[in-house]
Amino acid sequence: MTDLTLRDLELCFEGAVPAVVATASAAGVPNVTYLSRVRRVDDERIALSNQFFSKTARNLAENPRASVLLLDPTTYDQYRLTLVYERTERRGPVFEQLRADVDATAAIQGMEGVFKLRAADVYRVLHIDQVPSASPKVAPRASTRARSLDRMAELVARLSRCTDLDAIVSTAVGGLAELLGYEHCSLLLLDEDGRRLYTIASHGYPAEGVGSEVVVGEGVVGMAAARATTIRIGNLNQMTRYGRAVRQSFEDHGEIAPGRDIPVPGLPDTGSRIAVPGLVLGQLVAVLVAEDREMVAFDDADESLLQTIASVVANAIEAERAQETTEEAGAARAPSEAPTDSARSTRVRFFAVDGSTFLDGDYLIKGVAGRLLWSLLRQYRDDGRVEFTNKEVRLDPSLELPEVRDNLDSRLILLKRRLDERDAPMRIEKTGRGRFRLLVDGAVDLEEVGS
Amino acid sequence: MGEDGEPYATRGWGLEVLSADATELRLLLYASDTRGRELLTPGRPIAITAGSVRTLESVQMKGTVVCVEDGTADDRARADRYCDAFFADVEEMDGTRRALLNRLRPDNVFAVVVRVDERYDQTPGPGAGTAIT
Repeated sequence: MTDLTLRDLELCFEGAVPAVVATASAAGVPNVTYLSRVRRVDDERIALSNQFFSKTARNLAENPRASVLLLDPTTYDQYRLTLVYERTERRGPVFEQLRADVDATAAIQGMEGVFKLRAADVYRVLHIDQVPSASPKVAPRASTRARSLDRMAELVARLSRCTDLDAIVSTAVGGLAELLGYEHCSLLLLDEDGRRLYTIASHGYPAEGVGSEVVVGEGVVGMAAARATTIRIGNLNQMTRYGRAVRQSFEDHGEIAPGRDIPVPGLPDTGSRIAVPGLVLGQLVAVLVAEDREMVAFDDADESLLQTIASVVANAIEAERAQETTEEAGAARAPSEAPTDSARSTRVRFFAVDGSTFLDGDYLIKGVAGRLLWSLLRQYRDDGRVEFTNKEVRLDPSLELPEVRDNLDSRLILLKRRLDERDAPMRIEKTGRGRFRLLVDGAVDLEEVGS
Repeated sequence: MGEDGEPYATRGWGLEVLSADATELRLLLYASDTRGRELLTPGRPIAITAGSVRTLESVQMKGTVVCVEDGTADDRARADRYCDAFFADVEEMDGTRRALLNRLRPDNVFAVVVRVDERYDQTPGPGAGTAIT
């Protein structure tokens, strides 16, 4: 090899720009194709993802030599690697790393079941040559993020001082932006039955998206949750197009039927996304997601930092939940300023089948949070009640809460934040440990559908 | 392709169809790619894959080298037009800065005339490698 090492090419392996691989048959007929992923195995070897490489695989069986072109997405330095094929792996860490890359691409287009890594082909690198450029180097864009230990410590300290779930989730996303420069981030919590994640807080988006859901195992965020492992994508646009092309090819070959597109939540022009699971005692609690418009915006340092924060947030949430379910309700605080527009009237429509709730025809929320609001509003209408305790709410059978690990407080905070986000004519105010108050602005007209 | 069977990958910077049946092409390569030029002797096998930035639809053409020529003013103008169009697509689709993309722009090119014998669909997916007839 030249003076260049594979470690010098680290950013080339982020998958931001498609690599090119050339092989040749024993008769000398070349074959050149694009590659979805290349990964460094060690200081002398790389691995290429093998999904559809029928011709490449046949060539390698006859002639083990290959040539690969790689691009550094931050400098556009171009490299040519001369390779010799060594082996194919179908299990082990190299295979698993490439499989995670391929699965992330599949998840973007909802092809988790059909678009899979077949093998990881491992090559020894004989030479690395930098392809000359006629243009001078361009300075990389400076990151706006400040990933200092001091700032991380400050965020952890702020989280440690939070006394309830609402404060924890607000501090997490707000602190990531304010202290560490992650301007677009969101926090999703795992639901009671472990099948879905729901957004509890976000920062830096036109709409906070509180209550939006992701199915565990679907999409980048769902996959990070299902595998309890961080997933980092450096070129979402490129991967989306690659996934779309592959999906079209599968459809043309009759292997999958046209279906719904899996929507990618977040910025419309996201270049990079990282989804980091937060675990407590080995169990998934939450997923922290950060996005950036730039390609390859997140690196190993971001991954380590966000993993630390996700872990702290998850532990704080679990500690708060444990305290919330074991403590008796504390003393109530004095009421805050009461709503004033008593002439206002709001029509609330509730669908019993799934808890979907609409305010004046606009969708608000569904599931446990929807049933919770419906129960509170009925008590308000029938008895004029506004003061509640978590303990009594937990016993309400209409909420259909699971007997174990009901996450009532999370749903209550979700409902509170959703009402606030929509500037609804009703809101929820915590009045003490295990207590809250329903504040309603004007009259409510309740209609239950399908009861 | 090297004489010892070692494949050699490089990037092309413009392609002109010379014959009505699209079996003869004029491919433009970076003039500084001296190793590539050495390898492109008449009769040597060559494969060219071309793709759309927007859809990633790709086609691979396989054939042999007819001849290699120094780049002309027309070739350089064609390469510049190719770069402009290619970079505009990448800029739009990926948001990559033009200053970065211009690092790929060749300041001079040479031309290789290719006779195409076979064509394959190279679009990513299970159909990649299917012969186009």
